[in-house]
Amino acid sequence: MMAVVFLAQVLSAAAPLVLASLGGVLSERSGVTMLALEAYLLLGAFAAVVAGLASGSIVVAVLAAALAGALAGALFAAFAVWQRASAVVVGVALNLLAVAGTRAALKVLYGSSSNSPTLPTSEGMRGSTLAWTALRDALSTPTVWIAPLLVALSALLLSRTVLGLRITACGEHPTAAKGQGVPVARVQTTALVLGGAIAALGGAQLGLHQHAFVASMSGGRGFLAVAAVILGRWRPVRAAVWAAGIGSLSALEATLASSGWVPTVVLQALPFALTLLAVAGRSGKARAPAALG
Amino acid sequence: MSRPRALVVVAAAAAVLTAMNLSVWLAGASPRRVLALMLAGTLGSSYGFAQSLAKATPLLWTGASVALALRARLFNVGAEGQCLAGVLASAVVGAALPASTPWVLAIPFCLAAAAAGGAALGAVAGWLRGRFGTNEVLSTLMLNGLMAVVVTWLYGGALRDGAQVHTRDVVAGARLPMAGAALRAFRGSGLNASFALGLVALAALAWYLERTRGGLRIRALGSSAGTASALGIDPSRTTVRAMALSGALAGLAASHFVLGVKGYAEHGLGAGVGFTGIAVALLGGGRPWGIALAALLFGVLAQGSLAVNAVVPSDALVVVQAATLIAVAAVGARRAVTR
Repeated sequence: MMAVVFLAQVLSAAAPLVLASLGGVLSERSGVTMLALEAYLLLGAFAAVVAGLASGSIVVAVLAAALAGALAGALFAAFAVWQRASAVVVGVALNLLAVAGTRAALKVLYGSSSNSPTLPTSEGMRGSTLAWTALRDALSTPTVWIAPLLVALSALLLSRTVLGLRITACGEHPTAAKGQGVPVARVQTTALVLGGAIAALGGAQLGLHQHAFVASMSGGRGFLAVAAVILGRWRPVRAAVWAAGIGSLSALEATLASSGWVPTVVLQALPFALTLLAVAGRSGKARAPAALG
Repeated sequence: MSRPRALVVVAAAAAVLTAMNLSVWLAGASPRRVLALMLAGTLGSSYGFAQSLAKATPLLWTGASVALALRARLFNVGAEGQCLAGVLASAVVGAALPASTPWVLAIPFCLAAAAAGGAALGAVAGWLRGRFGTNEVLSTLMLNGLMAVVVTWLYGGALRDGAQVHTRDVVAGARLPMAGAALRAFRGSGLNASFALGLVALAALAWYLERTRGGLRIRALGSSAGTASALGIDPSRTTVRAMALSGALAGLAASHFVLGVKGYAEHGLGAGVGFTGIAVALLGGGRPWGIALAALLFGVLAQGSLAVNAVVPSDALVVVQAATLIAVAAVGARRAVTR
């Protein structure tokens, strides 16, 4: 029974990281450093919960998250690609903007700057301790299904389509790509918009899983996803595997915290510490897109 | 003031005003009324003015921290975690000193602890960069996350002062003088000697970078690999030194929080000033007076956001800070402040 609960928690905990890291891979493969995954997760979660509360439909919630992420990606492109601002700075600023912006909007919309009202849940699912119900609950969030699907699609997009090859060309050698008639800025914008939409779906998973939006609910997952991008050497499948691995650590936290075997602080610190070690251990082998900046 | 810098300042001002009006309007209030409230609550009264300086104080330190690292072409986004480390270290040391410790000993001890805490965290990132080539942006982000988890745990458990939700008070000698004690008009504000120390640190930083051998090494590392090797500089060691110094400055922001305003450490104390420090450093263009003015601008915004909190959520004005950061980055882009 514990194993089933753990599986349910892994699925729910891994999906946000997997989707965020996919968004990061798409963006960075086009040659734009992407640190705003934290912002995408928050905006996606916020949009999903607001749309879900307004419409009562989970499909609308997921679409709203993707739209919010696409808009944030377009905003990122407007500054980092078209204005040539430092992508690192735009990323940091967008993260600040998302934390404060969602909190302010929460206050304006629902009168509380810490959390939204809860989304209605299907009959008999909440508060149940049965392991299978936990699994069913996890699988009832569409983003859990969307995540593996998008991993495959992103891998195909990057390796098999003209757009994918153009994205890679922009990341590796923008001057040469330009010489071949590739509209570099437009390709990068497309990659950023797509990446933003996908990463924000990870946010939708966070919001829908918790049935509410809580201020700063991304809790550093976006930064862990950035690490997964690097650990996965900018490849969709590998990055997703790393992201899922890091996600399982948080699931471990959720499972073990109640048992009391291991201090919670160790479990909370584990993803950051292990990711730091992994990145340090593997950074010699990493090969970033040549023109990443 | 050269033309590009003037352009940056004008664009930043325009961005601040636009973003402010937009966010205020979105929050359903009248921009003119909010602006009037903001001015009255900051520059319009001696208390508001002192509070604005107080809010600017930690930003002097973190702005200096980020600016120093940038000179070595290192992007320290870890001032956030380094400040938390400084808060932790100075609160622990300050509370552990004998109660009768005179200020001439207590204050230097606590400042050293704050600097050491931040420097330790910065040095880890510098060492990883020098030894393994680990990107310092990533490592400092992870260290931020790690630090936040650790201090939350410590303040809620091991370091908790009985029923209080904060650590034990530091000894009386370790407290920095408050401006309100000397000037009646500033009474009740959080302004303390850390502000003056921060200004001195900014001047010292400029002197260190321009006039000393250590500063030359850091600048050489930032200019090009060729320059560094021509001067016989060890890049790994210089990277560690630059990150440790940068971390020490960020850690010293704790002097405002622990030794100045609060006298103890608690959950959330010192959070947020590291990321804002990035904006301050970029807007300030790496010059001491520029950083001081930028810190002041963000201090006024921070205090102003509290002054208007009844009308507009104070977070709406953090949005303004973020917008400023983006605007500065966009206008200053061609001057390539970062890589």
